[in-house]
Amino acid sequence: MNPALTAPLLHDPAARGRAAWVLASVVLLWPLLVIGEFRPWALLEARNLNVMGHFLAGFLPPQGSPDFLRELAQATLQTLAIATAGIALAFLIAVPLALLATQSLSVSRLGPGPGQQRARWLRRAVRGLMMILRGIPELVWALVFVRVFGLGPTAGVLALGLTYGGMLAKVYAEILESGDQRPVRTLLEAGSGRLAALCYGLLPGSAQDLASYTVYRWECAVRASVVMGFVGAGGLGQLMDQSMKMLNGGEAASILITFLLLVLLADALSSWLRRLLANTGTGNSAAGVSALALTLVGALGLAVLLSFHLLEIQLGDLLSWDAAQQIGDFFAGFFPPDLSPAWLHKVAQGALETIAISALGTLLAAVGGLLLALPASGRYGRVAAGTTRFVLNALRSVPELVWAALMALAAGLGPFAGVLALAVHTCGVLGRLFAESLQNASATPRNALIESGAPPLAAFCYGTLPEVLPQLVAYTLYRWEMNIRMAAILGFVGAGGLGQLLYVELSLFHYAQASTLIAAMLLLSIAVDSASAKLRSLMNQ
Amino acid sequence: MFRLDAISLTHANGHSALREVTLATGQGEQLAIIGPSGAGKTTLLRLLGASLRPSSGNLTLLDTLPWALAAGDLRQLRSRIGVAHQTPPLPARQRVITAVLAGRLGVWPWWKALASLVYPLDIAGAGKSLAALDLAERLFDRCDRLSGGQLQRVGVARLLYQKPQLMLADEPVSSLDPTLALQTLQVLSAAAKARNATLVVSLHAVDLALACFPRIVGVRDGRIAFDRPATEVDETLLRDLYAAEGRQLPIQDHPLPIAEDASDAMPTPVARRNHCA
Repeated sequence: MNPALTAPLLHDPAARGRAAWVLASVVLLWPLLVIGEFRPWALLEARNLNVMGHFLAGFLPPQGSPDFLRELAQATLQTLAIATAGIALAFLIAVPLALLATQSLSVSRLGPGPGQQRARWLRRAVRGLMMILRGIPELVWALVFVRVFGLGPTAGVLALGLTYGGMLAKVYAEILESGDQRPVRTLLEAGSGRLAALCYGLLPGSAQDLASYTVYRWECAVRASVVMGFVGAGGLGQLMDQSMKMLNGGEAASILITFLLLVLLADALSSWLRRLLANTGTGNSAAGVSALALTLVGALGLAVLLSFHLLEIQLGDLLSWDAAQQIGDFFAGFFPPDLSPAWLHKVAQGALETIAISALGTLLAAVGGLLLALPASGRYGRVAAGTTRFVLNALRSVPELVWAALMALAAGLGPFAGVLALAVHTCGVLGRLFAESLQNASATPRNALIESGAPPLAAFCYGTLPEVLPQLVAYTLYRWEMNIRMAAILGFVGAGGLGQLLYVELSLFHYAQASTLIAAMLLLSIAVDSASAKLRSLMNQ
Repeated sequence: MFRLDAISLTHANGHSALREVTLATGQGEQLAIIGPSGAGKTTLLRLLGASLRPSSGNLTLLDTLPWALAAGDLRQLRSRIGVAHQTPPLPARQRVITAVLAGRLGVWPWWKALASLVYPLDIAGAGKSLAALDLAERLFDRCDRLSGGQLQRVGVARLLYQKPQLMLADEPVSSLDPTLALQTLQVLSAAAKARNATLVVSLHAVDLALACFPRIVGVRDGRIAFDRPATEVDETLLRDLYAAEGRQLPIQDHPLPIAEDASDAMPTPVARRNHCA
């Protein structure tokens, strides 16, 4: 109690840092707004209002004629089949890659033995291949394959197979390396082969995780194959694309409803399967593999066969010498990429536009998500919570690309449509996550403030926000990372960025320019990956 | 200042926390509530803070009936009542300055509350409250860097900064060492006296209560066991109050000069000098 000892600080020592942050955000935000062509008033322009009004007016009643419903059912089945066949292909690609990339299965590391250098380079090459496969979005693959194999599901299946193959391989390798490494090491040291060591040393501990992740990826594949049709790769998306081009609101409404049902169904099926998987293996039967697992594997095999049959994909034709030559010729056209300064400049602009779209979209989504999370977390009663939760679910069930197509109608072609599309979809995702954070936050600080007469807004800002804010920021950054990738392909439906350039160049058969664009997308994806990894390790310190 | 008239409170789970409690104070009065754990001290304070609604009986706070008020008026009434909690409900990542300034949220307009999140608007005021509790140098620290005892004093500083007419404190010094505990109670008492505010403090340590408060209310099993001037609280009364807690009386081993004639049966408690005067 001797105030003379320490002179009282009469200014906030953190103020300068905060001011710098605010200044930096404003300086950064301004060009983003310009590049992203942020023009909310475009939504209110008479022409756009007219188009959108007519389109939306057509939503009621949804198209329900038997002919259309038959078409719809067929497209739905095709979508499911694309997803299933795509995952099967991805699995075939992923397993050898994962086995090659998994360090703990390396024999040459023991000792170290002979061939260690070679093995290390091989692993590096495999990891690079995995990165390229998953770094190029499936929609880009689809767009490219449509040029080779023509319109239809074949392109969709191949695209899913490649991108998801890369993703599965990466995660498989991670799962295999995260478990207990001693059993497999012991086996390898005892001279067993790599496959045997995998089956006896690694799979027992990780089979459940591997299966569960594969099922989750199937669920994602259903969502992805829904939009695949927008570039002509079959399924519901193709139907939706046609309806929207004809501004047929009734059909679009029916298809949207089917979208939602399909996504919900896939969600439910996948979580049911994963629960089932989590509960297997507790039995004490003599057989190494339970009857349930056998049934599941059988059903899975049947589903894959049916999918390929339904899609009428002749794998033999794809693997024939003619096809290989055709594909080879086609891809040769992509090399060398166009690296002229003028084109690089344009690509850089496209990349900047992509980043601006993703940043603005995510920022808007974070604001909207927080506003919707307040009622969704149940602080304004159960009715409000139920309603907002439904709205949030609806927002995030419609894929970004479909939103982008809708927003291109509402706000005109260009990056702003992409901003809106990302904002709306991400708002649904973040709103739900934010609401969960708010619900999990301790209520006492806020209640104590309410009990000393603070108004609800102030009590929220002083009592709840400080606790949840870091989590909200982490969620937002994570979604931004995903949205950068998404913004690169939204342009396929005219929403600006790299995607729009790519779509145009491919339509004009400018393959050299297209390959520069694809390389730019890949670089962007890799940069985002490593930046977020860095950021995460910084935040964890 | 407040009046409880035959107040009973039964929790939703059927537990009867308070039964037929009658208690009143005048403006500027200071009193300590003592009693064994689970006697109903906290419930009583929460009633006085208008955060719990009595099941029956009449409750008057600052000359109004809180539970007959409209929402806006109840909020205004609450802003004139301040509470220091045993475990201060402060968000871990909040800075001390913000936590203290939050005491005035009931009075500040909303724009001021929001602006103060960007730049603290009353650094001098918050600093003064903290300086009184010997915490001036922690002004810009984050709450999760503070010890439990320091946090308790931040809670008291928020109460001081709020300047309420009815000051309530629920075991506000339970994590402090004896010297600091005494100092903190002295600061609370002096602040209440300076503004002629009413002060009600629940304490676990009997000796502190007797040393610092002129009026002692003993609570047991949800009833008022006794309510008399500190000078009239004797050992028998205290032993009855704490009968369930074994032979020892809960006292804080603080460095008050022990009365010369204190017998060996009971080390300190009835040292009855008014150290808070």
